Amino acid sequence: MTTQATTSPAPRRVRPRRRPSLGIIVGIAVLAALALAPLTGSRHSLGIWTVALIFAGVSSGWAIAGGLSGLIPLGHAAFFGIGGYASAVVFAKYDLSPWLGIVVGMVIAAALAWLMTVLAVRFKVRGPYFALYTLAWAEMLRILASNLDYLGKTNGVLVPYKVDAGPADLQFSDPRGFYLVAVGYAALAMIVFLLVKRSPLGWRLSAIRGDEPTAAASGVDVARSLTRTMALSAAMTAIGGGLYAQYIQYIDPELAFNVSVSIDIAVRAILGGAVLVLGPLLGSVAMTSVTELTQKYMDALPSASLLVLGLAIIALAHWFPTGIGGLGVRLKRIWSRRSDRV
Amino acid sequence: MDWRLVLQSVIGGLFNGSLYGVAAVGLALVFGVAKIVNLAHGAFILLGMYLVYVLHDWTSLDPFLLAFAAILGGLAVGWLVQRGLLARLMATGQDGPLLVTLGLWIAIEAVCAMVFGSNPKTVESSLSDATFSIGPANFYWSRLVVLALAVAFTVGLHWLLQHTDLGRGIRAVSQDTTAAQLMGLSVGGLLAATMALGAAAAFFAGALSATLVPITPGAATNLLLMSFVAAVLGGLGNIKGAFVGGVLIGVVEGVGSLFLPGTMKVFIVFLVFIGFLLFRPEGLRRRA
Repeated sequence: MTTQATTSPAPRRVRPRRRPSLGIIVGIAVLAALALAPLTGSRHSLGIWTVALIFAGVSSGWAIAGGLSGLIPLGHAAFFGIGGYASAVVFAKYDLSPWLGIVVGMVIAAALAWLMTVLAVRFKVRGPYFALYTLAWAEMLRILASNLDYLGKTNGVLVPYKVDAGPADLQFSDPRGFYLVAVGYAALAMIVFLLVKRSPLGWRLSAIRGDEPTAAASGVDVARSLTRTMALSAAMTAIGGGLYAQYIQYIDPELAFNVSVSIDIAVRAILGGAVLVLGPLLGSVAMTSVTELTQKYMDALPSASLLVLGLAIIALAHWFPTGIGGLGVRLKRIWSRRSDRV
Repeated sequence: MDWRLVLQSVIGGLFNGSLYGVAAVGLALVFGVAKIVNLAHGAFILLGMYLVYVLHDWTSLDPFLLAFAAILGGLAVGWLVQRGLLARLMATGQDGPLLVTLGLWIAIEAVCAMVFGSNPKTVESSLSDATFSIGPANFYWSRLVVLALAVAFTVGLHWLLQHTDLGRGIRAVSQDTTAAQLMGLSVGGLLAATMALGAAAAFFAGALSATLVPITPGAATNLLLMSFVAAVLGGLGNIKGAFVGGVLIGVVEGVGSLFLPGTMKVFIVFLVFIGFLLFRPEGLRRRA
């Protein structure tokens, strides 16, 4: 990744658009303002947006693999759960900082993802098979976690309150503290996504996504690119799992590894646009908003948000496959074309 | 080891496996012909369960009789889904249909939760309490009926695919869509028929399991996962293989429960699954 500046005419082709730097600065300023807005809101809404941002980060982690590489991983609950359990166990059982636990989780998740992908690439488990393959790994971890005494079986692991806890323990007397951590994590995940997308690895992934045999024939090391991507994606996802477990102070096999967690992670990214930096954030915010709105106005029907979500995904597949973010890009393109003419 | 326990587990596993098998048959058919990984299959199974529950509530006929009505329901739903939601996306690759079936899964589960709530519903068969014994082991008659019906459905589907014009058409599409089209077959219609038959299998599996498990909006997830495993074991796309795969998983689970505590038997199933995906993606036997 160090030889970024040398040569290669390919990237121009892959990403012809160049954003004006003013636009980026304004965009970041607007995002930052929006990110700080909930700080003034109620405790309840702060909690909602904390979780939404953690999942935005997790989905960005997913999108590194699911968006950029063209793989369809459907088992990211595995990495999310590993992060959650690692941070909870390190804190609850060994009385060490959950930050350390998150790092442990990242390492384990990355190692597992590396192993999974090495095997999958070696034995050509691709496409929908890869989706089922990753899902099966997550299921195995779920069953393992619900049967291991060390991990508290189906009861899971409780994260204890600590007297005079500080940021080092990821416990805050003011809930705004954890919210800022979530903001930081989401931002970090998006930056990592962007760095990967614009790095030589990102160009290789783009080539693989477009046409794998041609990419391989042109000298792209497919196996290495994919294993690295999955490992990085898993590590980024594990951070979110760790933060989530610390936030709700609790983790159990279903919260960590259930199929629905894997799907939730993937859907947020796909909904927002999995190849765009802002996609997972948009998707996560949209999903959380829908959930909250339906809970507010359709109290009697708690599943209404899932119905809306399911219908949204079907609509997405038909009319805007690049997600909400893709719609934005399309609008922007129309707008910039018009301003070019003026 | 206790001989009775072994018999109980293995034959019990065989009975469970027949259910996995008949669910997997639908999945394998749809994948083999339409090349769609149908994530909505579990939702179809769920609809089958609730359909039997509603019909049973209404008519108080025996749920095993109502399973045949569920087949009709499945045919209708499958046909509508293919015609209405999937047909337009068939040419765009696998991602579109995968997303649609994912959306359907989530939406149908949500609708079931909205309509029926999360309290478990049960359906009693008139056979529910009757048992029979093989050697020292005791089994419910209803499990044997499930096995028989599952086998009958699979054999019937296989016969339909092998010996009718519809079946020949479906097989032609599965082998070469373009050639089938050039021969004057209505590919769209045959794909709709395929999805209808696949959904019918799911509805039937759901209907059969309605008497065995409490029906909740999440009740079909396990059956969905197991039918994926079974379909891969059988070689995705292979009907008979999928059924055999399902039975095999049931037996593996049964044997696993002899040695492993709690739910670890399912762990073995997924281990076998990953092994097959890696080393034998073509399934148990190589297809000619």
